[in-house]
Amino acid sequence: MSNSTLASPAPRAVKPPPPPGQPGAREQAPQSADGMKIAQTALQSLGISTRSPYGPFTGPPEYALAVSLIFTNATNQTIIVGTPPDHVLSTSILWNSLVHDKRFTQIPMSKAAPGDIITGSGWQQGADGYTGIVVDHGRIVSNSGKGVQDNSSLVEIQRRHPGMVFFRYTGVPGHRSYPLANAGFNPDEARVPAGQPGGGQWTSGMAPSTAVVSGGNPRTTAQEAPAAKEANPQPGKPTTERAAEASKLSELAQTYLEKAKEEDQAAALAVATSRMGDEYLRHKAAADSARSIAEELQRRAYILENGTEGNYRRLMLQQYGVNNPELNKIAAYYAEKFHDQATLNWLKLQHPAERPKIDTNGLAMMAFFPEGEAGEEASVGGGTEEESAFEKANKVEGADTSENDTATLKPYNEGSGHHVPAKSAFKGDSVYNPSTAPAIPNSELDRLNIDHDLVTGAQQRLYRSYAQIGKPLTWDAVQSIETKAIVKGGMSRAAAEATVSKAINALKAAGVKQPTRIPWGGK
Amino acid sequence: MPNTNIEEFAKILVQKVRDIAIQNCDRRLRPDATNIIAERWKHTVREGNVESVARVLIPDIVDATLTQFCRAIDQELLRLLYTASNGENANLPVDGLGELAGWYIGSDGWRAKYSKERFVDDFSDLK
Repeated sequence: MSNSTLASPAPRAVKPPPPPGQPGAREQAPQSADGMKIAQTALQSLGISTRSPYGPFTGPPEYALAVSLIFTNATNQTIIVGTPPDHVLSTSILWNSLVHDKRFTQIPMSKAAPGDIITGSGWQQGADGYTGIVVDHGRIVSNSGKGVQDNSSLVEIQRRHPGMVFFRYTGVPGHRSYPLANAGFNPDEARVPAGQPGGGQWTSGMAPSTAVVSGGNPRTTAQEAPAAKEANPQPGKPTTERAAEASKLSELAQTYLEKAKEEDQAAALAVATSRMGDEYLRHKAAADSARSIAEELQRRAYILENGTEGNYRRLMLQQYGVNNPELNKIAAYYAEKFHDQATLNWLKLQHPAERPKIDTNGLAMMAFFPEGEAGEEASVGGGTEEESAFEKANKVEGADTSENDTATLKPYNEGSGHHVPAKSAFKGDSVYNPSTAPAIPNSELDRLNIDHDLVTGAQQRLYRSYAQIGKPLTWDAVQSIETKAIVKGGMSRAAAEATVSKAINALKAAGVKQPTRIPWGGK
Repeated sequence: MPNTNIEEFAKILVQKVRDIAIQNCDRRLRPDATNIIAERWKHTVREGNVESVARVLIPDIVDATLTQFCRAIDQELLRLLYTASNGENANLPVDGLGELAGWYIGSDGWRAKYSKERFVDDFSDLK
């Protein structure tokens, strides 16, 4: 599971690029000491989990947050001027800031060097709001569902996300420095020691008693040190701690709304000056992202301010909706805030690694949560049956994506849903059975909020295009088309690739040799 | 209606087409929905009045419903036969190869081919 990567590995040194003329050398722009330090810090951060101090907003992994924290640790600067490092939660806003920040210079991909920041605004075709840091040998370190990982490369990025932009931190002489103290951030802030629960995590901005590792597993030091918690002296009213946090969230929401307003104005200006292309889209994406974050912050502030121990769950469900796939993470956040140990216990049951038994508190809470979620999870644990091909396939691939991001496949007859790949690609194959073929079950479409209609329409479009080239359908083409289709439906590219790969592996393992026809392609 | 077969059809129609279509559309309203249709809806709601919002939502919801109807056939939940004007029968789940929903919603599908009303091609960016 995702929290297995928390232990901090030993720091690794950045190898300097070979000198010109040496094997492996390539033309690179002069590298600054800052760049090497950023790369070094990135490598030292491998395996460390990051989290937003206010929980997930834009869905894991939080690329921008990880890059911001690494950059600040390395340079003692905030990556977005005037924004605390742990408040950088939007890739599009980060991108927009870097474009206008004179401390950074845009670098072509061919000249990327260790320490350069790679990012996409999130609106470009093929650049899905990703950001990371180039280290050595063309590798890229970025956040993932498993914390900071060395999980990509320039070659891969060039192939998958040609729209990405590289920024090099050069600093500007005389440029105003933004000391960390002013940003409410301490570079020497202690991290949870390796080997302990939450080991290696930055503690910046985190509530003192909670660490939610990637994947949403709540841990409470309350369980380890119950005396650390104080009972609310006035049950039914917010504690001063909650009221203060609500106020802080409201202020932060206001900052994001102002940022959204600025971006709206910039977008309007782009329209007024007939710059309807990239510039308009960039500002609009940044505005939408900021507005979305502000809305989330306002929701949280509202519940902290108006919720009590007795009614916060109802408020939470009203605010977020009972079918929200992030509900467990949201619940973890509030359960800690409201010192609700029963909910925390129940949430622990959602994590297979920590599901030793179902206690009565857990059962009581399951009754509170929407039907299906609890039931499905409860049926998972403890079995020792032999793994099916699906279970095996579900475990492979997707190493750089969170298990929560990828879809768990099931035979179609067990969960209905969306066939991956399209079943008509195997018409006439004696081995292929559409009833037992891999599918993203309806429960997973719902959990991941994948729009089935968009996936289907995208499949039709892409397979028809492929049919026009007149070649037989290959597994590689299936992988590519099905991935694009699921991305269209709302899944991240990495998760979609891993999901499709799992499905193809399952089919191959079942003995399906190759597709027999091109779906929507005629015969 | 006393005919149990028709009642069975009615139940599938309501539960597997109407209800699923509503659930699919509801998902587009969730805060975590980032797909192109959800974004279009959110954008419209932020910037439009009731009429303009409805103008965007009506074709999208109709399309979602009809796509789900086709999917129910593709999934063999609705095993329908269509009798063509020449008298021949088409077994929709079998002859349709499970591709009816795609033919309906796809870029150069039935909407584009036959509809005289507005719709958005959400797949024109795909190559």
